[in-house]
Amino acid sequence: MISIHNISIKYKLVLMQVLTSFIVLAICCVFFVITDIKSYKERKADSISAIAQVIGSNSVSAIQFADNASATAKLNELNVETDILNATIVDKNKAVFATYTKKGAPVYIFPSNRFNTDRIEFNGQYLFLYHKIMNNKEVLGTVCLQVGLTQLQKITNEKIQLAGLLLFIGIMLALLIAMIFQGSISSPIFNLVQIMQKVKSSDNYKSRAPVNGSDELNTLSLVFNDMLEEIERREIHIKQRTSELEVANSNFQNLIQSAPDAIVTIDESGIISNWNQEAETMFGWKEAEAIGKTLTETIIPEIYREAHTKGMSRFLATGTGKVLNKSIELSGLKKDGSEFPIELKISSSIVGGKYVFIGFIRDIKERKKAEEKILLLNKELEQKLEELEISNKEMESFSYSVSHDLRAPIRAINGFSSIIQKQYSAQFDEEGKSLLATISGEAKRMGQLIDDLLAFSRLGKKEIQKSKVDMTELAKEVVAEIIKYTEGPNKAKITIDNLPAAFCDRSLIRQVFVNLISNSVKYSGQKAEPVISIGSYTEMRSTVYFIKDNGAGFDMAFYDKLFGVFQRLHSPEDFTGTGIGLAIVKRIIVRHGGKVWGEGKVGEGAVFYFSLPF
Amino acid sequence: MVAKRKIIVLITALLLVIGSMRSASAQQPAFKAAFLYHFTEYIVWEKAQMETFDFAVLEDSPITSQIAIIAKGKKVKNKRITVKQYSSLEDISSCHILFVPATCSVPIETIIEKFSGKPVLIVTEQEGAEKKGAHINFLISENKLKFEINQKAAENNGIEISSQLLQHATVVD
Repeated sequence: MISIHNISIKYKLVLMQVLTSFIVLAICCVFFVITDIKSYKERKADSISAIAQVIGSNSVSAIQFADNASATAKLNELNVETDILNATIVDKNKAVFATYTKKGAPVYIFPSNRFNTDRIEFNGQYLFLYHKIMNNKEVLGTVCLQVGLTQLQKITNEKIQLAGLLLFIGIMLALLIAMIFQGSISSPIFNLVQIMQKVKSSDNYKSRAPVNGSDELNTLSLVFNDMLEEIERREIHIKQRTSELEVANSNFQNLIQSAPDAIVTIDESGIISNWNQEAETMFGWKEAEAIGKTLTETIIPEIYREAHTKGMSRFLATGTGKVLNKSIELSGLKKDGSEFPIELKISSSIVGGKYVFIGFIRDIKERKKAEEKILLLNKELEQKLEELEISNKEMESFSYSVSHDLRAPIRAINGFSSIIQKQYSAQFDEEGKSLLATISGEAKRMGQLIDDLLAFSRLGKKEIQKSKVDMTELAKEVVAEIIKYTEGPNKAKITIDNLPAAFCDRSLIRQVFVNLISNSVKYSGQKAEPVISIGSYTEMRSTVYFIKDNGAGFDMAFYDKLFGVFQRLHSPEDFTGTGIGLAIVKRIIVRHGGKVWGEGKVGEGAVFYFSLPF
Repeated sequence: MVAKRKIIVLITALLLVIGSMRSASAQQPAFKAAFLYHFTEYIVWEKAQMETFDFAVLEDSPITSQIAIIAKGKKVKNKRITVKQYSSLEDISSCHILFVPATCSVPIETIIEKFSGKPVLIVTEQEGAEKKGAHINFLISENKLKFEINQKAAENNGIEISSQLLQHATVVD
């Protein structure tokens, strides 16, 4: 069965043209044939009717005088009319008056019910004509004629033949014209189709349809070309994007493959879809072996399998999972059947409407060992700390009781030596007096030492009460007090920067400032122009305050001794002091959670720093 | 089909026979009256005075009443028709057609003599009358009513007879 849709447009156009022409021509031909036949009949009827009128009027007298012979003779004259086959004249009483039959023609008896009427009848191949014979408005009879229409048949045949010929010529012309003009419609379409097929088979979007005009077909070609251009542009874009994606993907694959953790992805049914190198090393399954298997078949130890299956189905049903997006520690199963501790983090994402789960797995065997070691060490450390604290406490109570007990004899020595100086000075010579003064001085110094020691040991017990302290104001207060009590030829030039406030115990930090600033004043006292500057800077989690001088300085070789109790780097002859000031500073700062340190160079000066956490 | 056609032929033949029988028998006066009336269409009375168109019958004949029947309500040459039957020749002063029956006692010659040169058409029904000067004479031939015309005699009386009428008649010189 040939469908109209499968016929080429070329043949459709030709077919359309030919069919249209055929229908139009056929209608015209039929119309003309019918018209011709009709007009032939009309003409025939007219001429026959004229003959009938002549016969009628010529027969009037014959009828009037009952002259059958005359009438018959008149009718016989009709033999010149080749197609009149039968003629009859009847009188008004419908009696036959005269008849004529063409030689060789069959006799026809006219039906009497047509008599005394004027009528024309076409009946098949005959024309029947009835004409009333009138005289003075009186009906005398009827002329009846039977006319053969052989001529009509002939003419009809001729016309039909002519029409057929015309139809044939017309269709041939239509076919010719259609053949000529279909090209201008169908060839651009063929071109388009060919180019489309070429583009389709070769994926080459460089082809263009030819455009030579501005009719609809050329517009179509134009639009098609634009479309091709657009497709070509997109194709280039897609290729570019594809290669970019390939690069990105291979980077991503590299990243995954070279990741230090095992990375495993599974789909909704638990089947492994990605398996990186670290996973191969960790579990002993090759990528090709692992992909397509389920997790329970490979790396999940038996004890976790049921939980895994339940957890998966719960997540797929509710969208929530207990183990998602956090690190959990459990054990993994190697291909050889051994288990080892792992840290697992699972995250889920949706790809193409389905869940994908990504597992990051870390072998924590080593870490577990280290943790155990640390735990052990910590325990030991704690024990040692406890021991240390006990001995510290013992030491403190010992030194407190010692200093306390030492004060009484010192006070006695001091008291008695001062009585001797006052009441018995006359009995001593100059040397004796000097020795006595030395005994008194040393006893006082000892008392001072014991006081300092007591203060130091009390520091270990005192509670720290922190508040916000304006450090600039505090430094100024201390400096003012120190200058007031300083004696000596060279007053130090002291500068104080703007110091940030600190959260600390004001009285203790005041002690720190007193100790450090007075040290600076003391050790720079022998300089011609002593300069002391107090400043600060900010570190990561603390503020560092410093006191800098250009005094005697110290040798960094003995730095370790600097903050020790009763440790002195200078002789008492050069600088007075008990050697406990820096030890107190260190203890206060350490109790605040800060640090203290110093820098110095002999004869050039020293800087002391302490830091306080925010 | 053939039987039907045979019946039609038979009926037609019967009608023809009846028609000829009718013209030949008792209806002869009616036919003659009709002929007389039809003659007027083909004849011109050139010199005749014509206020009415006058038929005259000399002596008694059934034709008179027949003419009267035919002429009733009709006109000839656009004139009213009168039909009169005369018992003597002397009574006829003027007329346009004078019919002389076969039974008429007056000899043809006398009648012709009387209307010689006058536009009166004289119609007779006696054998040989036309040769005596009658213009038209009826006769029965082959069982049919026919007539003879003496054209010269008619012309002499100023009566013109059309050729159409002459073709149905036997013309006598």
